Amino acid sequence: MIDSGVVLRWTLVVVTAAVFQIGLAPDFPVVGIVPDLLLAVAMAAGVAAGPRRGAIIGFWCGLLFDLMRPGPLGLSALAYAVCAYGVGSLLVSVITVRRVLAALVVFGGSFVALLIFSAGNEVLGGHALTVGHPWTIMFVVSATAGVLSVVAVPLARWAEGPGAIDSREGVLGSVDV
Amino acid sequence: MAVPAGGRRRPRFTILVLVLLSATILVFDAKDVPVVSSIRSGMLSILEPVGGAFRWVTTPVRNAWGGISDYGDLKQENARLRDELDGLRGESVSAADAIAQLERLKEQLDVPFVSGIETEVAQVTSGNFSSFDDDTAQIDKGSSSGIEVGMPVVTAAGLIGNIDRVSPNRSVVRLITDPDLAIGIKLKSDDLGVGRGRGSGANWVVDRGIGLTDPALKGDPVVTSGLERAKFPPGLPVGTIVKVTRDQGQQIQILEVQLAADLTRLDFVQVLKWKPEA
Repeated sequence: MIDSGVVLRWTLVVVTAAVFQIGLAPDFPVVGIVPDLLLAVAMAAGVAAGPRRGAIIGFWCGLLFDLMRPGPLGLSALAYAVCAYGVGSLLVSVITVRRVLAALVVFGGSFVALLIFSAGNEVLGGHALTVGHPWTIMFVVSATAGVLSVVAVPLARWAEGPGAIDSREGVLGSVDV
Repeated sequence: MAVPAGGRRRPRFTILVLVLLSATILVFDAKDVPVVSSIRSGMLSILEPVGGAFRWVTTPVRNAWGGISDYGDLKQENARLRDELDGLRGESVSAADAIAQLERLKEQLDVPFVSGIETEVAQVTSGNFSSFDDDTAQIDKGSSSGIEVGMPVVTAAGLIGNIDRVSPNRSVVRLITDPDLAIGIKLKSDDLGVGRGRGSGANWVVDRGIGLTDPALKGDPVVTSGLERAKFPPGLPVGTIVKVTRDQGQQIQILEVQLAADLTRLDFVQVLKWKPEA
């Protein structure tokens, strides 16, 4: 059974990120591109809480983002869940979670998530991969997610509580992946 | 060694369930299941006021960031404003702002090309929450003001798009830069064609219907055709031709059009209570 405190803290983190995404992120573009705070939280969940929780938080972050904007509902949910799961699996099975590495992994995971989103959008009749400057958007949004992980990962650790992955030791061998 | 947490049990089963759940939601959305539309409308109604309140609270922070990030633009704007300053000296800043706002509103009430069509003036509340969705804008009127999906939206300069989604007090406008929004157009010569957007930042393009012998010159106006079953009434200004390319292979002319309305600076807009024929 999931601890109700964990649920409450994660709800607070995800809803706060959504409010910031609506009310603040569009006014803080990085080279003209709007950062994706919910993606950063999803990836941070993978880093701080492992693949299972990462996937769940990624799913909710993506679904919330899908509800906020036009386009296929469920596509960001799918992309964020899969990539947060991937990020969590990579970190718990391979490497120790250090801050710089976490930022790099969040960058990579975010890029793959946006690639999945854009490809899925094209398949479903959109133009996310063929109109405008999608590669720049993917790179900048992923890079900002990587930078934001400096804040998002500690926030995710707080939300996850005592079960969070230890940032100094890593968790090699402790997890049934 | 870290203690295995609840968050790290049975991850493969969890991701499988979430993937299936996402796929199910995608299918429901693609099939336009009513409950999905209701949830989206509900979210629009909830999120926009929350975002608006948050934007209001964070105005000083946003202004400060704007001052840093838009330094180049501000420098140019500053130079232009200095030129205008002499003419405006003596008026208080607040009065000038109120007058400017009133003028913009009056512009929307006296637009010749929408005469005979009932309209609803609305204000753009926000743009996009993501850079992947450059082709939408939100306005502060919805179904409670009689706005329905498909209604055209214009500014005093010309067409900007049509209504894509509606909630009781908010609507989402699909801008004409969207490549999926094909629009029937008419040239000065009465020749008809079809145009579409190519995303924000790129010129609008007419790539169907204009033959090699049809007269189309740089600077000619482009308006909506309003033919039978068109998405827009006739005569709404779309823009002016800025480039003509002859495609010998397809035996057509491809026209690049600069939009009449500035989609980067939307403020007040008018929703035309005109519905396309079914």
